[in-house]
Amino acid sequence: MHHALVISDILSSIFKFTDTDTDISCARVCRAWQENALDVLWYRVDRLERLFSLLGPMGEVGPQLITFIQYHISSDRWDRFSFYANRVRRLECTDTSPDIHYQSFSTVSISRPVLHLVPNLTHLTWRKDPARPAASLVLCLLFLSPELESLSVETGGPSYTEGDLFAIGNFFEDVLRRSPRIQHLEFRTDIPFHDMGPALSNFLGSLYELRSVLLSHALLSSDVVTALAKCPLLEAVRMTDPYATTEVQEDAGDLQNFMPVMEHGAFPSIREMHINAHLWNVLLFLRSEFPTTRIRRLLVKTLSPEINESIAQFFALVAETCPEIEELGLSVQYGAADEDAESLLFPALEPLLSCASLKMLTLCLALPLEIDDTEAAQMASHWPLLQNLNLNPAPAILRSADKHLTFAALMSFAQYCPDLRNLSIYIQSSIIPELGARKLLPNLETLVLGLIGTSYSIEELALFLTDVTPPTCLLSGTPYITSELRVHTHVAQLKLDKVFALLPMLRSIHAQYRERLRTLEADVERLTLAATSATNV
Amino acid sequence: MVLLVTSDNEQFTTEKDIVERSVLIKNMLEDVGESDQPIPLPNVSSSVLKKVLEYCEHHRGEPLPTADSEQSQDETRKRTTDISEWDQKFITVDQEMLFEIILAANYLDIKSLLDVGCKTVANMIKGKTPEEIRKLFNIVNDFTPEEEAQIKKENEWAEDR
Repeated sequence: MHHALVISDILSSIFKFTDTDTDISCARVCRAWQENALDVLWYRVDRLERLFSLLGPMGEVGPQLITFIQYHISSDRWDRFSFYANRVRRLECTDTSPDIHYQSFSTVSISRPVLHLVPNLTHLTWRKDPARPAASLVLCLLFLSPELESLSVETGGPSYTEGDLFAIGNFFEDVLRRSPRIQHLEFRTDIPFHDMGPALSNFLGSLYELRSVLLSHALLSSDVVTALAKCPLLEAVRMTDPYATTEVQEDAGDLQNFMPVMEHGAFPSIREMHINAHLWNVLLFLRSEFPTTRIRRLLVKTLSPEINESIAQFFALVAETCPEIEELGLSVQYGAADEDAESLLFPALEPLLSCASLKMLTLCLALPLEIDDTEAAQMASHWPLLQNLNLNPAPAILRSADKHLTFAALMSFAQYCPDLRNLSIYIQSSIIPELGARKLLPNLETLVLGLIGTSYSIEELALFLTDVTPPTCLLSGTPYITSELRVHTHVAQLKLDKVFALLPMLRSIHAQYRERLRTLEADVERLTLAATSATNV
Repeated sequence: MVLLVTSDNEQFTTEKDIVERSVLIKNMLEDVGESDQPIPLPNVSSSVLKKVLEYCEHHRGEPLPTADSEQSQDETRKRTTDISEWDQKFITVDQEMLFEIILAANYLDIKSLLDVGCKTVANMIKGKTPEEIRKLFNIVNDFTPEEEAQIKKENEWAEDR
């Protein structure tokens, strides 16, 4: 045997490239191999049953419900358990079948010989049975370790009792006591903030090593953000599914009146911020004293109707207070507050042109965004680093005949934004650029196209799209159609689908053509060489 | 130009940008600054260093892995075992040389070469039984049959996935 095969570093480098079945074989080769192979095999455990069955045989007690067959666990069983559990770094319990009976958890809990069952655990994900809000949540306490860096839990609802709320409050205290060094926290719940009481904000404010937090949007209240502002290392405050449509709940008012107390030195490390509030409150927040210039990602969701003036003020303030911004998103779900407004015009966006680092802009507005080709060209030329642009996909009905977006807008992005990967845009006119004016968007991965006009030729548009998108780019029509426009856009959508259906064939012809061209060029080169050498002879 | 001295006292003169694919040597050169002093490599023999330099020369100018890419790779565990055509040819050597190259790449800290070597070993043992692996590398089984059976049983779960 070569001596390299007993060096632990070398073995673990080899086992980075082996599959699970091979790892099991390796664990049985010899003692030196066993250690490294088992470390790899048990690094991540995604079914609790694997760990529990080391303690004793388990059997079904109901449909998809298992438990220990006998409730006495011997000390050799615990030795074997520790032999494996000490290797586990990630425990990810996300599937509910089969579920383990509550009784098994209490058996493990009372008979364990050590406090920390999985002492080296750094990541814990727990999404079991969201139908029972607190009961399933507290079970994960059993696995918390002092080394834990990342905790992701989910507790369902919406039906929950006083008892559940009490248990959740205790849960936070227990987490804090057992795993005070959490750096990344995800907490998903349907329970609104005001029912959770101060337990959540006390908990968050005590996690001094917190670097990122992800909360359900209904938890991003003033109190929670006030508490988070004190975490010295916190870089990111995120919410779940920021662009999803949300039912307005009774307590929306609480949240929308967002007024966190920002003391001196608030959010010293902040880089990314998600806010769920009335825009007016967002404006106040961005003006408060914290290092907004460090913000690279900002996402605002508002559940209140907003006036265009606030939206314009918001963009102007972002440009002023977050000049280095790289990703910006705004989601306004409910219709405009000013009744006579029918669309949002380009001047509202114009201040953002000064944010030269912008890589991603997503606008989900209730009102259509009305821009023309010149304005699109301005965006493209000011944002050379752009990777994702999702302009309000709701169609704008043409109001003025001279102001609309045509396919020429795509060519501006082709010219200025070489990194553009995802583009979602509404085209209002069927004018297609001439062959000579077509340019490839070299890195485009998805193009979501809304199209109002129907006066184009299907073949011509298909040819245009073949010319300007890479062969791997996915194309689709916009899924976002408001009911009042459904009839209007339906016809347009049907026609667009015909265009997309033509693309695979055109792309394959393109590829064949290019291949033939390459062969021809190679032939010419070979012939030229032959001719030269013939002359020399 | 850099002068390297192997364990069997052979001297190799090579260019800086070739030998700097080794993080160890790169750091050494940065520490000593401009100097004509030879760098001793007491853990590498001349026949192995010759192979290692052949690899570094072929891959000169390619970007070195950064700490960032390292980390993201770690997240998506179980990496691909694909090896490029040239590397495949390069690493087609006898077992003794293969492990010597792996040891040298580990010592000199040449991540991409270590990966090529380890992928090759991973491909050799892929799908084999413990007994086949022992035979392949001449490893002595130091488990009792009961111990081996216990490990098999306790890890059976992974097989039915």
